[in-house]
Amino acid sequence: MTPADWQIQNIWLGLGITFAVFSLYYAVALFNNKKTANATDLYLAGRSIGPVVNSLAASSTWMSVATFLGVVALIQQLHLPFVYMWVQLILSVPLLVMLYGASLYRMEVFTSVHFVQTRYGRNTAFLAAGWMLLIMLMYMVGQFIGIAKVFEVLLGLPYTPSLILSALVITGYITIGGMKGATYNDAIQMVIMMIALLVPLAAILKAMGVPGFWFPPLGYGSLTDTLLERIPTFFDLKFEARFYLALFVALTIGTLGLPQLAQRVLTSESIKSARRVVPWFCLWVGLMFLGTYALGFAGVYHFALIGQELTPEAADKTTLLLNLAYNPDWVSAFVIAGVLAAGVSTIAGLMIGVATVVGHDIVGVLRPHLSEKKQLRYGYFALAGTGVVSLLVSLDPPAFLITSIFWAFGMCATAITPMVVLGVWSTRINVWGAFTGSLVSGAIYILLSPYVFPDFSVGAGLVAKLGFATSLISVPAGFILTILVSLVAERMKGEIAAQERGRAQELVEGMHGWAQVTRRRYDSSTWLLILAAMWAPILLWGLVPW
Amino acid sequence: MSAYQKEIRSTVGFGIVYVLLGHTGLWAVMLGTDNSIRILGLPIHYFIAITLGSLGVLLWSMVWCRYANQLEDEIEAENANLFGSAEADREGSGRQGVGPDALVLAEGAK
Repeated sequence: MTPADWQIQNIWLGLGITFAVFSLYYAVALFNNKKTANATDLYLAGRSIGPVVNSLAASSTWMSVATFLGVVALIQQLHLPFVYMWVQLILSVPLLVMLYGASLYRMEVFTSVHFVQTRYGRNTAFLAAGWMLLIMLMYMVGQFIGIAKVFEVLLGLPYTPSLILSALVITGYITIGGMKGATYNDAIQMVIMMIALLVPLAAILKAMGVPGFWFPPLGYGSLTDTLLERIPTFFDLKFEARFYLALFVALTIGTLGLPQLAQRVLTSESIKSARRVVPWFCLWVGLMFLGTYALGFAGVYHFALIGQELTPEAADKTTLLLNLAYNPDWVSAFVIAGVLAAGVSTIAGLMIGVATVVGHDIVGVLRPHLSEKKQLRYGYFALAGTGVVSLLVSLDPPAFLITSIFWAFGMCATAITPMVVLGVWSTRINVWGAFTGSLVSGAIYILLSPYVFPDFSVGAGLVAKLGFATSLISVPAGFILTILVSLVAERMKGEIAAQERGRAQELVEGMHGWAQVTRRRYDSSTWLLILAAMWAPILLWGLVPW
Repeated sequence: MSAYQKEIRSTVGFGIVYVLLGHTGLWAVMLGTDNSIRILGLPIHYFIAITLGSLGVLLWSMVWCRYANQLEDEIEAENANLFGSAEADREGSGRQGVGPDALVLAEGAK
């Protein structure tokens, strides 16, 4: 199979639809530029977004180039276990909003780093900012490269000019529109993605003779018997129980801590509106995920039926190969628009996330008395700077930045989630516990990964590369250290710790909505010790060789 | 049950169900799989994984959203009651509230 097999014949069709959608994104950005008057408008869309638009924007931020290309390829390679790996990603926003999003909204913070700064002070905030910037940069570089590859492999354009042009075009419209423009554009992009995935999929299933083609998400069961004849192991679990537990520890706990998703929730018009984002998000993401599984299933079926073994490079293009095989060229061009929408919406969320951490949180700590006008100017510089720096890094990325994004989720589960979630639910977690837990467990995660000292890596193959094996050690370590160091420091630090606890009591009760500080709520150490004890067997299981 | 207890218990409860809905792979490991048992033509463990991981999570989110927003109202009501009784106490005794709690109470009333 050669590149000619997955490139559309009429390149002008592909370029035309790309030009049309980017013109639309610029128009939306320019319209919203006029409405950006201060830093809250630039970073949080003035906290004015309703639940439907916000849920579409959050879903769009969550869908990446991989949703259209990589996932289908991975279903072909890993079969059912990859579906299990992907299914749980829908829990990110529900758990995020429930466990800390609503509380952060009530505090009127801009980002998770801003929360860490308020809760634990500036040193821990700098540490959190470092981890978050690393995670978001890993994510963003992957998306920039992905989009350039879309231009290269699907339209036949040269890679480096595609990367530079697409990165500058994307940076331009996000900088002009700020969070408000990005939010409305993200919402539009989510609609494009859903149409680009589900409608052509229905046509593909119909052409395959599937009676349930009219409901692609669940209508492809008639293909099962033929598929099982060709690939009898497709629905096998293949991995041990520990792999499935690692999906929770590394991915569910990791994705609920992602800063760019948390920031989406903070753009809501009210706290109740922030909660209403959750069901809508589950509707859009649920539909997209079901469509992705159906497309993966159809891809495996199609190539098993014609007896063609795909190379990993060709497997990545299954979505396009299926569309080119069963649908006219203009449909494939629209699917390319969907792939681009998935990539740029993710970049938008990440760029604004990075810019807020740099332009608002870090600059805010270093220069706390900036005027509104200067804050806004720094914000625009931060947005444009984020795009340009990401472009420069993407031109020749260091190897560690282009490891799987699943690995970055494990990093988030290890170094970010414990300090944020425990800090919201317990007044006993203090700066010493949060700092030590995040620093030590984050270092463990990096040092035990196969990317630094391969000889000391925990596990081998897929579970090591994706960070699952290491997460079963570093995430429990992160929670246990954060809890135990906090409680020990409380005893050792005397009056300083008592003052810190008093301040935490006021802050934590306030962020949960209580008008009166009783100093009794969220103040028990018992449940913290129970939680630490519950992590202990997982840590021990993680230490057993894979 | 106070709004505080409800908040803690509901968060734990809703969280556990969310995790169970999104992680049916662990159920399949424990219960085993059988490709011959089908729903809509799909093996049951696959069907359960994809439907609970999408429609199941959607329905549970609707329940959670309604419950959490009602709980928000209860917390507001507890705050209002507390402020109301504190106001009455002050009016009855003719004394102004003092100390940090009174300050927070006054802030909450703004």
